[in-house]
Amino acid sequence: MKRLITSARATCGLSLLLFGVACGGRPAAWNTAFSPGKQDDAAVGDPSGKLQVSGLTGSVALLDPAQNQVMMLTSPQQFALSTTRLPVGRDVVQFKSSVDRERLFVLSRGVTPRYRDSDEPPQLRVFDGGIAPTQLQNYVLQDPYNQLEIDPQGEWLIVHGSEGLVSNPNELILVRLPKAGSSAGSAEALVSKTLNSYGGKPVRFTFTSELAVPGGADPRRLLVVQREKDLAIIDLENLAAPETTVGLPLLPSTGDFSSPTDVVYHSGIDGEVNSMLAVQLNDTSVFILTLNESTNADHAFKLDGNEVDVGGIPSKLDFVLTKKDGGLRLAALVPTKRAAVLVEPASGVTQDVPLPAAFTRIRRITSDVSANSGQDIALLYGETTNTIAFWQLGTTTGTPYRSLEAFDIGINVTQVLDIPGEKFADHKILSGGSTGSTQQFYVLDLAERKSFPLDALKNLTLNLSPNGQQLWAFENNATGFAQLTFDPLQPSSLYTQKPIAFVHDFQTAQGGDERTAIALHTLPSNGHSSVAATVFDGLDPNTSETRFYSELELAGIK
Amino acid sequence: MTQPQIHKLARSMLCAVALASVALRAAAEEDHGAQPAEQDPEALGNHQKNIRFDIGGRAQFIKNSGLDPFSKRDAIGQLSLLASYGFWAQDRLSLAGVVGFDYGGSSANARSDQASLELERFTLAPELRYHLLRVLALTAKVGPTLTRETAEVSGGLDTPLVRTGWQLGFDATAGVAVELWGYRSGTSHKPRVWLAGEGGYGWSAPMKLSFKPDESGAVPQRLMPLVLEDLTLAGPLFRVTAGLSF
Repeated sequence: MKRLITSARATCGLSLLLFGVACGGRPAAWNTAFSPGKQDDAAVGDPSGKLQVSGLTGSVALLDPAQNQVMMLTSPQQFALSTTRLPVGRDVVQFKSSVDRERLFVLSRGVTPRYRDSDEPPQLRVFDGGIAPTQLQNYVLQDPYNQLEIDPQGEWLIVHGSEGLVSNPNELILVRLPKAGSSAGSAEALVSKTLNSYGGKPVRFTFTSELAVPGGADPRRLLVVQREKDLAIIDLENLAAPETTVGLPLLPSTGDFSSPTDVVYHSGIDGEVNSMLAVQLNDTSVFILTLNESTNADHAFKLDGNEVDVGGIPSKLDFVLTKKDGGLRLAALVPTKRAAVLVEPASGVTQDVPLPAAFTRIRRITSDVSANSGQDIALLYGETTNTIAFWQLGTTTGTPYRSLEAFDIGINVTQVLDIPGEKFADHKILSGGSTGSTQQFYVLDLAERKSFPLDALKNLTLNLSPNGQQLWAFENNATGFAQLTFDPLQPSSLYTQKPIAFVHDFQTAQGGDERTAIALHTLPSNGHSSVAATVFDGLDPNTSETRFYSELELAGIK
Repeated sequence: MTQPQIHKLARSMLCAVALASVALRAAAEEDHGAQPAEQDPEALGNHQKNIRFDIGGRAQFIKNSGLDPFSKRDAIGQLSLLASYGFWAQDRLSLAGVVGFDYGGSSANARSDQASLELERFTLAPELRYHLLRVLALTAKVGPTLTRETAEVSGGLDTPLVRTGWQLGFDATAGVAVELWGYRSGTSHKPRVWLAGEGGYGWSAPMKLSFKPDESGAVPQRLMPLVLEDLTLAGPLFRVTAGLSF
């Protein structure tokens, strides 16, 4: 009997041992709750708000920080939703899309401090945002960086803002993005450039378009880095060349150097003026830099400066043409004078153009107006006036412009949105603050010179469709949103049964014109968050024809 | 029933078996030598041909990733209830019919959600027994199973999402049964106490985890099913039971 009891005990012991040995765990991904990624530095008007979400041409990208992955929500067909998870690296600090919303850029810091070689390094990843999202490039960085600047033309990225114990803010990593379809290696695409500094550090970056260079050199794009007291100008065609540092004029009042607040550029006019940059300063002057023929072997051009006083602190600069294919002037808006000052760049001669309001912003819209007479047309608006104006440059008897049409639209315009694509390029969306009980935004038809007010019960976030056919207006955490089509100009009110965090529409995998619209929800779930989505027909949405997808954060977890 | 509860129950069962064996020891000693003279007291008799009721624990190790949302471990513990009838014997070999019921499950957080899985398994199988000794038998059984699997996910919606299905499968096990206490004589009809252990493989057909709301009224219109990876309850299993035969 004793032997049998011993045997039984041994059997039980063996079973328990086997249980312990054989019983593995599940993947750690299941153990981490979902919390949406947040961004603190969202730009004004960014439809993503504080959420790290990005609406792309064929998908919606949502960061899943706990998994170090991006969830790419795509639509295999209308009303269908699919989730693809792609790794993004640890500690994501930047989550941005390209201007055309074809690509997603994710900058991560990796493991810091990085004690072991196996610890994940800082990375910059580029993803295709189309209907079949994939990672296009992965650039491994030497140090963790915090800032990412995106070239509007999609050719360059600038990574900067190191946060080491000792860091050099003038160190820039320039990333030349491969063209679509190209498979450039990551090593040669990265160029580290440390700018010479006289105490300043980068504040703002401007990528120019291709500028003509006198003396037979090829046209080239420049990167203008604004620092507190100077500019550093990088020749993007010749990164080996040292940057050109341009000191800014002294302020007569304080004896200190001026600070740049904005830079605009023009590619010049054959036989009239060379390419030039104009620097807006924090005083009554503007500083015009002309690209002239180079006098040394290091650079393809040299820059000659000319300081011009415009009689007041300008709020915005832009180059304008005052006659057909010529008559280039720098227009400086000077709100204190309620005037625009036209500066003849070569001579520095100025001419005041009185304006009906203290406009603070100017937007050249010439190329957006299908029929024009050669002179530039500019849209004038501002944060401190309810008036907008169409300013047609040129000269007529008695006035230094052909026409100036002003409209009172009842809102202070803080943002002008361009509509992607060609079909409605002559339409602009004006949004801003209102002092009335209802908020408004405007659709501006430049061809017809008409402005269509659209009343909204709330101050809505606007998100233009990547196809340029419609606009989505929504309020964060509300259950209603609107679709606005441009032809006809017709708003439709739509509703969801859960609070909205983001609205976007994108192409389905079926191709053609088929689109899916998605209202994204982040719902409370057991003290954490859960992701859900209401899916609509992207072109003809209807509240009674939707699909609701819940627990999206579980999709693809392995 | 959670895994710690299963463990606690198994420990309780072992204690109960130990107490029962002490209580029956005296009765057995009193009954010693009371067999009818016309039967061979050394024959296996009711050691083989008996009705036995078992209670214990069953553990199955499941590597299937469909289980991941519901369990932090790759194992599921269950309470096992078995009833068998040894109806045929030839020398040391005997055959019994077994009816079994396993109940248990698992719960865990699936990211932000709470997920649970409840299992009820019914088994019907013939069991072959070979007595190496009077009190020690090797056992083997293979039989079909029918499992009711109820999976539930509670998250961002106001009502849980549920998936329930009946899945066919089988259990194939071999093991050993030890008679801890009972009269030596095979002619005695007094209760006997058994401890049995077995191991083998269990398989249930995959269940497509396509969840729907528990209450359709409380969820958004046209809620699409939450689809998780198919759940296949397959893997090695172990069962330890204590039993009483008559």
